[in-house]
Amino acid sequence: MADDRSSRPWFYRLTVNECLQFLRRERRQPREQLAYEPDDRSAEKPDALQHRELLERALAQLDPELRSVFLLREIEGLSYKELAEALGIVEGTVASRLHRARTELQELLRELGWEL
Amino acid sequence: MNCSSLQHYLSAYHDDELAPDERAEVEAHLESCEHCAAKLAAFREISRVAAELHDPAAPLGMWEEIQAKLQRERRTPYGWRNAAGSLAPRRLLATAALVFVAIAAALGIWRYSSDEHRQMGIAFNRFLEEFNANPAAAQRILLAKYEGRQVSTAEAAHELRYHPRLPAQGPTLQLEGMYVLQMPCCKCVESLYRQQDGTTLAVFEHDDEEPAWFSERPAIRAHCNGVPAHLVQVDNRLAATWKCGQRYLTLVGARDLNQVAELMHCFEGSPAHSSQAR
Repeated sequence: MADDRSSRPWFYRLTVNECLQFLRRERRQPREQLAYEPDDRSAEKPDALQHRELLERALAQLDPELRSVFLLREIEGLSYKELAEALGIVEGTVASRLHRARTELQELLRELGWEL
Repeated sequence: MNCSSLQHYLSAYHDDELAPDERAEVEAHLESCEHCAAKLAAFREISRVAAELHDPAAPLGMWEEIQAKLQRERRTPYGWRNAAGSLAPRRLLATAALVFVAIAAALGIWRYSSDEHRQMGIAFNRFLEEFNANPAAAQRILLAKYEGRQVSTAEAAHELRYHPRLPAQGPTLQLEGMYVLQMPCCKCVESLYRQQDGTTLAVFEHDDEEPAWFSERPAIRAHCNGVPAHLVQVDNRLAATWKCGQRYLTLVGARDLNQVAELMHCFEGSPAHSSQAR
């Protein structure tokens, strides 16, 4: 399936829908805390480490729909056309959601102390 | 275009999704507006850091604890507990969810890796297609794609924590520029040289061998001066990759195999802090 580019939007749509439904259900369910931290990254350069951690914290505060469009673009490298197919929205909405996602991330990162 | 109307286009401009005329309008505005240029710079910085995000491995014991917590769970918010008080349906759904997440994560990691290499191959192929006819345009492709910036040899050494190799002896090469590129494979340094015949030679120093850079082009392996090298035809010129010290060097723009051997010999010499480009 990885070589069949036409099936990518279908796969992402399925995955994103499942994840968004999971997040909506999760809001209504009680939560359990786990006392685990991610694996140690202290060997990395402090600035790079700090910026990644701040971005992860900001992403955690972002609306899930904005977060999904941002991550599918930035991490998975989907084009606007592929994002529109994957998320079931028009390309203009992709552009406006990405703009909102980045603008809100910028504000969240500033609140967290990263002067962008 | 003013600041307000630009907001509709800035993200798409950043993602290279605009038509040429829209792109030109945005660029014209950005040249005269510090505020919007700063916002674009922030978008670029966020993208740069986002590209470095990775999923840390789950610590040992975490999954076992999740399983134990699920088994201890007694609350049933959706009334799934059956008449005998069994939590089996819920546990089944939880297990299915974990399996789904594991499969999605595995697919994501695998696809991310293969897609990353494919995209790197596409970008590098565009660079190679332009390189012989218009090295400056080719260079702009890499700089735009990988947030490249020009540095001095001292700045490169500081940023990379090693001294980039420069030609120690052999043919006259005039160093025209050195750049640090934030490539997905590694942070690498690229040096552009003017050769005696007026053509440009690009030399990349990188941590690992990167066959993905030449993914679409036929390649051969050969020994030059006894050193194994990976050779690729780029129009009427050659590219070559070989291991040099602890890292790899890739040169693009050699005339022929004899020049590849000559250049390999001259870069094998000594690192930058004890040599000079001529």
